Amino acid sequence: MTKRTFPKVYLASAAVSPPARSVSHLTWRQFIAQAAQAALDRAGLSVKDVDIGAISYNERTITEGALGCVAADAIGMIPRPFVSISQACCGGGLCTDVVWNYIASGRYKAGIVLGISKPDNFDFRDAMGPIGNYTEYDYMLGFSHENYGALRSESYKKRFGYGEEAAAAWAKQCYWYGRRNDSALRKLDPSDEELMADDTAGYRLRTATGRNLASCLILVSEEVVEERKLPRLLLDVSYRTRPPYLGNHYDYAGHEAFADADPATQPGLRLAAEETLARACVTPSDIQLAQVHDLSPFEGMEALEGMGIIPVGSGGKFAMEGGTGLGGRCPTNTDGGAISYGHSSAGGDFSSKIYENYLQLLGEAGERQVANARVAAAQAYGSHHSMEVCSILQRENG
Amino acid sequence: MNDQFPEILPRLESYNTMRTWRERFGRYLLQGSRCKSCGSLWFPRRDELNCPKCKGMELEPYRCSRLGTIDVVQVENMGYPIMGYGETAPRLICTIRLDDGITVISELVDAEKDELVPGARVRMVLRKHKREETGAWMYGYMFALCRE
Repeated sequence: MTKRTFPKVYLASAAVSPPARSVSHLTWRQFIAQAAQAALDRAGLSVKDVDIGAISYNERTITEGALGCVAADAIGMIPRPFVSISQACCGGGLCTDVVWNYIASGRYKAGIVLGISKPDNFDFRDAMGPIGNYTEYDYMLGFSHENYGALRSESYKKRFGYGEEAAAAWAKQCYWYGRRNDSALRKLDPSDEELMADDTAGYRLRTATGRNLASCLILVSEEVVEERKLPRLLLDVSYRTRPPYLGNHYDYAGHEAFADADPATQPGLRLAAEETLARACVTPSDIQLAQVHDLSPFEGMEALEGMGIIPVGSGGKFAMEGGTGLGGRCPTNTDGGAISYGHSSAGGDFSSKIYENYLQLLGEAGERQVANARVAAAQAYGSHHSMEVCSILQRENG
Repeated sequence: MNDQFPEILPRLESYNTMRTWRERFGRYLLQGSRCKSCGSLWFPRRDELNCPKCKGMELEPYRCSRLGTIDVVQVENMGYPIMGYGETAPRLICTIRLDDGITVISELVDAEKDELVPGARVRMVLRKHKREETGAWMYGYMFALCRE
């Protein structure tokens, strides 16, 4: 590994809310306060120790106009600064990047990153369905972000010659992990026949399931790590953008990195990963496990490829040969992923992955523990790969 | 509205008709933009936006090609039909590479699933979509198989 030249920011602790499809007895404020307290307790910190906060949310489910002050009020942080970010499923990553930069700058020593997904504030379809990437030309013409995902999957299958057996292999491994994770929402053990079914039920088994979630990450400076004798878990994060309209994911003329791309490849993630890995002084071959945003299995495969962990186009083969399993080259979505753990969008599609990597690096992942885990990647996208965030969490000094 | 519930019911999935009207040329004519400086073509329209390629702001209306080739097709069997489109499910959704190099997303109509495969030639047609907030039908482009 090369010598690090970037500032260091550490993950002091992380927490997520318990599994529940409905938490209708809780307000979203109560929901985030519980996750925040759990993370602070775990780090031996108090909210008094936190200087800066950020919260990720979906504006369709949380309709307060200025969320930062409401979140700060909920966890007793008034009058300290609190940023609110709505950037779909990767919002937690952007919040992490914001707080990371505040701490890296030396302005603050400890920050809190919250995520909230509360679709039970509205009917789920009202809350999560009517979201466009470029609304006048997708949602208003009858296409949802689920169509984007399905078209992307078809593009991957066509370009690299895979069928649903690759998706089934990926999903089967996710369910294997999920059955060993108390926090997973969908603990199923579907048969190969059920996973391969060419109908709506089969499709839903192979793709993500939605859930409520509140998540919390605590980021601190090296000074706080030493003072509090916290685990030295070094965190790095970066993100990039890509055009929002899916048609412009083909041969986009606006940037040379995207010129020959199509929906089957992830050039935005590649750029984000290059920056993250350079900061973290690691290479793709150093990554021992990964948590990726798999609303469909093929998107999960594209994510591993985009981060350089496996060659472009090899994801289906990798899944079918067991590469994502515990004994594989890169155990992937060891929390069960969006397919089994659940898809919580702004609530935790990034932060719950960091939570899983946190458990793995501390050796607390139980039956799904990756042996001697030291370097773990996490990825999430928002607005259907129009925002890509990538992070590396690593144990410093062994 | 009806006699029992005279108040206006909120519909989260609806949009003001103005938003639909503003995009009428794109929806009816498949009109995008051409950059006067670098000649690059764009859809959706980018007038009064920056050109992603040369970063200029001089873009003019451009009628995209109405002929193209299917890249990928998806049979929408996800169980979550969009409001206003549930009655026509399962729909066929695809990405289409137009002859001028632009790529669009569209619903495919007037063909059987087996006919609409990657590589098939398609043409733009104007079809009924869903009702707007006012109750009026919204029309827009779809694509149909070329039969020659």
